Amino acid sequence: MMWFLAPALLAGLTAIAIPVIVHLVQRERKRVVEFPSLMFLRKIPYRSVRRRAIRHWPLLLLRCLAFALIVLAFARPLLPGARVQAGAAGGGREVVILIDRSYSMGYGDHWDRARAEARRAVEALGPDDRATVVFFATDVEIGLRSTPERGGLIAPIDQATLGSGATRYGPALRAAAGLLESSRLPRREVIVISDFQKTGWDRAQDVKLPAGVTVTPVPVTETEPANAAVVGAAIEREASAGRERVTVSARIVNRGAARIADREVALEVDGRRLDARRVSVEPRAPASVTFAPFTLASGRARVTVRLAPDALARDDVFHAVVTSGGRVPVLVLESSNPAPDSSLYLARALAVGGAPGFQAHVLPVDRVTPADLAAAAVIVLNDTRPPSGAAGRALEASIRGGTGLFVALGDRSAWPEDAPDLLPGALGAPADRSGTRGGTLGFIDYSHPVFEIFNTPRSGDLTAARVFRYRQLAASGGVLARFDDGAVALAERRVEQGAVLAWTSTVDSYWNDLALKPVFVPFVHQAMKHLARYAEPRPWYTVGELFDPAASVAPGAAAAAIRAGDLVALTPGGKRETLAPGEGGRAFTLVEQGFYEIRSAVARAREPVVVAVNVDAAESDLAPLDPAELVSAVAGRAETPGPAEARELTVEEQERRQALWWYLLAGGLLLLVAEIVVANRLPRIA
Amino acid sequence: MRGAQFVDPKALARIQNLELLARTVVDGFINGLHRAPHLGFSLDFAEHRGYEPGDDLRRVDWRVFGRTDRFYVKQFEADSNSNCVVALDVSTSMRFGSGGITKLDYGRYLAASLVYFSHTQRDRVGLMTFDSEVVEYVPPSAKHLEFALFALDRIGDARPGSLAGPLLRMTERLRRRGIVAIISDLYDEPDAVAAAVKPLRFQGHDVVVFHVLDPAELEFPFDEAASFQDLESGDRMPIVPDALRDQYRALVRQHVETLGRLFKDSRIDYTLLDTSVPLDYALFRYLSTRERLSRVR
Repeated sequence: MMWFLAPALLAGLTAIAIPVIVHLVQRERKRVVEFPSLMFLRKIPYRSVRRRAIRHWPLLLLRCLAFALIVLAFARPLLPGARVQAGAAGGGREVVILIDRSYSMGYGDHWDRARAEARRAVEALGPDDRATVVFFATDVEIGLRSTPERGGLIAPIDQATLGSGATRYGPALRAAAGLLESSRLPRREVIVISDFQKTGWDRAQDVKLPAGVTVTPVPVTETEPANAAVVGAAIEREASAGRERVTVSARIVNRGAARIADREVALEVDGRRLDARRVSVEPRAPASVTFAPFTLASGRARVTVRLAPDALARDDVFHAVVTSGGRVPVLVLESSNPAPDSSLYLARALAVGGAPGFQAHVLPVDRVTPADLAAAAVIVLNDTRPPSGAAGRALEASIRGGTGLFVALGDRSAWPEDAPDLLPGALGAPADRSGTRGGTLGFIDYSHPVFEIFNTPRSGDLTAARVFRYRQLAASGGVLARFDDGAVALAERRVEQGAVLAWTSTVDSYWNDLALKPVFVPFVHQAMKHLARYAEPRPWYTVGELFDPAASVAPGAAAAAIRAGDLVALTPGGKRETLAPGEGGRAFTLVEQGFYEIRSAVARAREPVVVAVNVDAAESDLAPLDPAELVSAVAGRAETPGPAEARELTVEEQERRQALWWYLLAGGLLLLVAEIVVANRLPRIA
Repeated sequence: MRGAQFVDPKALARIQNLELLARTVVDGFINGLHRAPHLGFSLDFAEHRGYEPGDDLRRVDWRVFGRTDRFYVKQFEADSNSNCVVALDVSTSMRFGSGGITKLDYGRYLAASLVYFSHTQRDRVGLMTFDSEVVEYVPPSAKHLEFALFALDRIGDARPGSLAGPLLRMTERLRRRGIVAIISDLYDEPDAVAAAVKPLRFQGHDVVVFHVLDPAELEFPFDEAASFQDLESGDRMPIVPDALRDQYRALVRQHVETLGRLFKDSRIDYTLLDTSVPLDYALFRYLSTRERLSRVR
């Protein structure tokens, strides 16, 4: 027996009479042909006309059937036999339980509540249901993939710990979508257990769950969360008696609606509490606290600003690493019988400047040792030949290993055939331009890091320098500057990890007056920084960022140690991780709040590289998001959680699931199309 | 000239190359192309007859008197003008047309051509339009061409038609013998049609019947079943043309053959004209037949 949602529309079945009438009546009346006289037609027996009034029975049946199907479709039929319990009728569920473990879930008892909700969701699973537990913050971790075993699902929930990442709903929902798409179970559901922070949802993200997926938000939030956080620190250095005095200022934000009064904020350096202040912050306002300056005893200090903990303690701590200015070791090799003051201007130029500073060491080329070469970040061959013997081999190895080489070519410069192949081109004879009042730089590649700072107007005129003599260099590529006669002035060559810059004139005042120009010092500094691959060390990182030890360490001995061999990272939680060279180098993701220590597995005695890692300050903003907004954005509709147990479906739901009307309507329309085809062909057939 | 648009100049150009030869001699004394049905004064000598008291002495042939010493009177075969009256059926059934031109229009063109042509032959032309009654009557006269064409131009509302009554009226009015052309679709039983036309012949008129039919009436080309309505009676009838076509054609063919036979028996010329055939062709065909017949005779 068939039920109908709109039985009154069955009255439309009387429309079946229409085709019958069409066949019986309209057939004669629909078209009138005027004829002069029926005299002859009347003589033909009328029987032969009348009996054909209904002669296209298939056409009549087609029309009647089409009308009947369309009327039945509008009456919305359903089969009552399928009206059974929803649980049994719907089959098993595929449930993905997304548990937010960002550090903001550490607010109060949010984390415990979240795990309790997760356990409740697991216990509510039916015998045919399967579930996956997924923990998410900045990244996504699948606890246990699609299993019907409740015990197996409870275990990762119990063992889960709070992370230090920030809430990001996008990756978690994408992972859920992937898990659900691969499921064959008829009903699919995502349960999101989170504090639903506004900062975690980017409306621009295009995350869509598969059709039919039910999203059930389980919020664990407070109505008026109160939270203050240390969101940043400013570090100012001051030179004092040959040492650096560091002043730390902390930036504190009150995210809550209540005023924070007289809360303690302390400064710790290398684990020792140095200063403490009291701070009061207005609701939803920032404040700044400046601590007493301290002297940087060694080259580096671990600084921690600690606010008296509140309901969310993770963001009440801020870490930073304060490194002394840092000096790039530069080894200047000059000839054994150098011209007077040949390295004077270079050494003076390297002596000035603080970030970074340069530590210049001048040596005759015949007295240099491999150890000297290994300790240098940049080696300068100032109007001399390269070292020979073991030192020569050490020079080549250093350059290939990443050390920079600056070659200033002059009268005494020579490049023997047995010397390592490091020059950007073949060295030629000196060229004398003194007869023409000297030459100037005619072409400069301002896009190169060496000349980048001279790119803007009034940032230094390199062409003001007069060059009277230079050595010809047959460089085919890598020319960074040329004289006005087209000859190479500065050329670069990459030698494996290292780089070589060749300046074809001297760095004193004999062959040119560049050393007397204001641009000389910045030129030398830029060249040295470029060759040493100097990068300003960052005082802190944020959880989730990628850290590359080789690229982030100050040049020098530590850098050389880092580049060679395996590294060991000691996480803030005390876990040791070996960083072996791989496709992505030794870069790794910082996942914990605190100080990471990275040491060379080989040279244990050396000082480790220390990295300060803080939680994402944005996560401390606990302003809630309406879960319905998230649900509607990803599922296209806001679903309320439905019980997993059996529920009797309403007649409307049954009818919607069966959707018999659609098939009937499609069948009726198809029959009408067939009727058109048949009706068009019939006269020709007759 | 009002009504002249009915005369197709091309048709007239072809007809003027023919001579309409009368089968019988008619009264009249005006020179023309038609042979007069009666002997009279003319230039062409016919025969001699004996003088009778009362004859005009000017007609005595004195040369014959000199040779034979008897009085003979000379008689001449005189060309004369004749009456040419066209009877056009304007009933409702004539308003039918399947190919752009109705039977009535075709009949109008034909009537106008005949009237005009006869006028150029110096005949007296007349016209009668009729349905079940005489609608318009233009008495035959040498000066009535314009009236006849005007009457053709102002044919009024349609009414059911009948041959017997109007043709009887015509017979009563036409005192002088002449040519009578009847243009109609002849929707009546053949015996009734013949009975209506014969009195004209009996009165001595040379009767020509033009049976005008539309191609659809001859071929019955309809393919879709429909309700057919009689134009004159308004009666409707469900018709499946495919099933009836052959029987219909046979009945029409039988009707035409019967008419032809009956008219032939009464020495009445009968021509079936199809409105799809050009008018000049229809005229040419008819006049050729007349010419051929006159030569045989």
